[in-house]
Amino acid sequence: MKKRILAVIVSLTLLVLAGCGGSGSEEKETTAAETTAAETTAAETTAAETTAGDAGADTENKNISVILMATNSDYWHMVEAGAKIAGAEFGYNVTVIGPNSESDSVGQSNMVQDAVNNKVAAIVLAPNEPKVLVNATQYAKDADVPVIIIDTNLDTDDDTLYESFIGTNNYAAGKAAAEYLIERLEPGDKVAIIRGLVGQNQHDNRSNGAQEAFEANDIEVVAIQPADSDRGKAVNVMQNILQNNPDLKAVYCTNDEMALGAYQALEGMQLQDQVLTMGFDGSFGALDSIEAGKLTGSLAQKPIDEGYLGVVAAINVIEGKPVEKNVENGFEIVDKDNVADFKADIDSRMEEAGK
Amino acid sequence: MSNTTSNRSKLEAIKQGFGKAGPVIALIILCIFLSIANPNFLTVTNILSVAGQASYSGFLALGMMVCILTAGIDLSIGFTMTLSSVIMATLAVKMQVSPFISLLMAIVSGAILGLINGLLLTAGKLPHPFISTMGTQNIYKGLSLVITGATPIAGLPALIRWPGAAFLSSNRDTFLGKIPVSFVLMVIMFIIFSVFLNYTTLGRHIYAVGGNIETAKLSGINVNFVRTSVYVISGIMAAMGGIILAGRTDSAYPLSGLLLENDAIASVIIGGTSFFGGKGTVLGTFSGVLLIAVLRNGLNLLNVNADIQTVVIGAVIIIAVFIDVVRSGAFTSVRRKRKAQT
Repeated sequence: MKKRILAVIVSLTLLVLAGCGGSGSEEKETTAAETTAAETTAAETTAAETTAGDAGADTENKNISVILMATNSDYWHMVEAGAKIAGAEFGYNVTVIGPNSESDSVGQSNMVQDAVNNKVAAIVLAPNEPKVLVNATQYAKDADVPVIIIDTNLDTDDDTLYESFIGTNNYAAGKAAAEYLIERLEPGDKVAIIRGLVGQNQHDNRSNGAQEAFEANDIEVVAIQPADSDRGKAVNVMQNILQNNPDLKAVYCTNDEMALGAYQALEGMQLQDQVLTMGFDGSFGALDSIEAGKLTGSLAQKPIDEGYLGVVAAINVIEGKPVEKNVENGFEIVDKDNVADFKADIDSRMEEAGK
Repeated sequence: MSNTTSNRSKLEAIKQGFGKAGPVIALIILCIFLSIANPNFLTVTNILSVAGQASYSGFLALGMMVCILTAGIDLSIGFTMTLSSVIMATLAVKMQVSPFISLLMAIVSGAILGLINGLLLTAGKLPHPFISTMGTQNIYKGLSLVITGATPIAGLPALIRWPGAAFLSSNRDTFLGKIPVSFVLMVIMFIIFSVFLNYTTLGRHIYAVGGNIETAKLSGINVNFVRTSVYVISGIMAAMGGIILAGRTDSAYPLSGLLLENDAIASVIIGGTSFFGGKGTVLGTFSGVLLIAVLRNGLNLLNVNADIQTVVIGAVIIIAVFIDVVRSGAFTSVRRKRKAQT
């Protein structure tokens, strides 16, 4: 009976390793796992040797761990692609991991701690909670592992915790999105803003930047309402806003999901030709919608650049080169005129990263 | 005839011994495997940081275990934890209440939230704790979001952070300086539970109620008192886990309890506690907690994606229970055969 338990556990672990351990040796490892189920002890040693060979090849530390907010959305897949391109370009071993959901801050903290214990040369971190992840970053600092923060900065007064922060200036981006709409509106026109959760820093900035630009140009902001970054909620919020303001001329949403939801509501009320719809992020769904002539535009962030620049900064720190403390990752407004080029560029770079 | 009896008792002894040792053996094998697969696994720093990572889940698992021992379940345990830590942080940070009183209030809140679960079941006569605690799970989650305005409360006082963030020695380069206080507290709590469940009246009544509620009633046990108590205990354990997690992350944040009930149930089940109540050991649960923490840590060290980690943990739960079923099945058939021979 002991043998059976042993066999099951060893083969299970092996199956996992075989599933994600890597490219070439996949077949070999799966067979190893099958043999294990039959003959326990002998197979255990062989299997162990195989994995040990896989892991312990490096002589000098070129391992960089990229820990994302989560790994299950288009946005993070693009960051991952950028990080891998940089790793391949400079000959570093870049691994990209992240928890199952963006709300799993404890899981992400543990991942940072484990990466430090794994003795990586540097960590690139997109903290999914700016306060909670401070402690984990402190752990890395105590162990002298340099950390590069991307996307959202930590909420801390101690800026020695990280070497560099690379992210979008959400305030400037919100302003730019509003200015794009202002060019297409008349003074006195009515607009609405649909935003993410109140209190979420990036949504506050995206919303405030746009609001100030609208008001400075005599555009009336009739409503600023949260739809929690959720497409379904945005449909309802948009419908409610239209009840009170049937003469609305534009809506700006602080992410693409909400813009797509708002467009649904407009389409349902046959107002899609009267109201301009602007999103934020440049997600695949939004790009397709822009290409189909639905969404007016989206303020696209540059996730591939974000991942790329994060890893490059990490490499510079490892090699003792100076890095800038705050780097603004650019943004770009995508509308029907440039959407085809924008998509082609993403596709070619995703292909380069082997995604 | 006497031969059969001795054989049977021998079998029983092996079965029981193995039942207790099973999860421990699995844990040891996993550790051996991981230390071969990754040279950074078996380092003092890593092992002790796994201990720290396991500590808050250990408290939740103990709370869950007493509920499952009575054939119940506490799905609200994650957000009971969150809500009590959020109440504590609000008192300490926003209302400037003394840290000691705030800590105390976390435990009191946990007990009250647990009491609500227990009373819904016994006084409210809701058909199964699955339903009542699923309801309170949502209520506690919602209240946590409302109280915090959906943003984390950071900047906790040093006393509140101590259980979750401190180490036995302030000099981090020494061995003691690497042992997290939280892990020591968790081990102490497991020892307390071991004594509580085996040597106190309430502890033995918990097993009795889970084993057969009708028999327990007939033998004069106040069944409703026992069933309410386990949810209060579960609430208190959740609050303690919450204190540790708040210290660990230096914040109380409103979604911290998300899906933690899953890991708690998994640790208890992997540790060999019967889902139908009445059977289970503290040592088993302890191994279950460590098994999940080591598994997560090991998979992180091997750079395995979180999605795959979820698959593995799911598979481990099923395999653990499957082994349990096969084991008891095999022993029963051996016993039958022997009986037939005589």
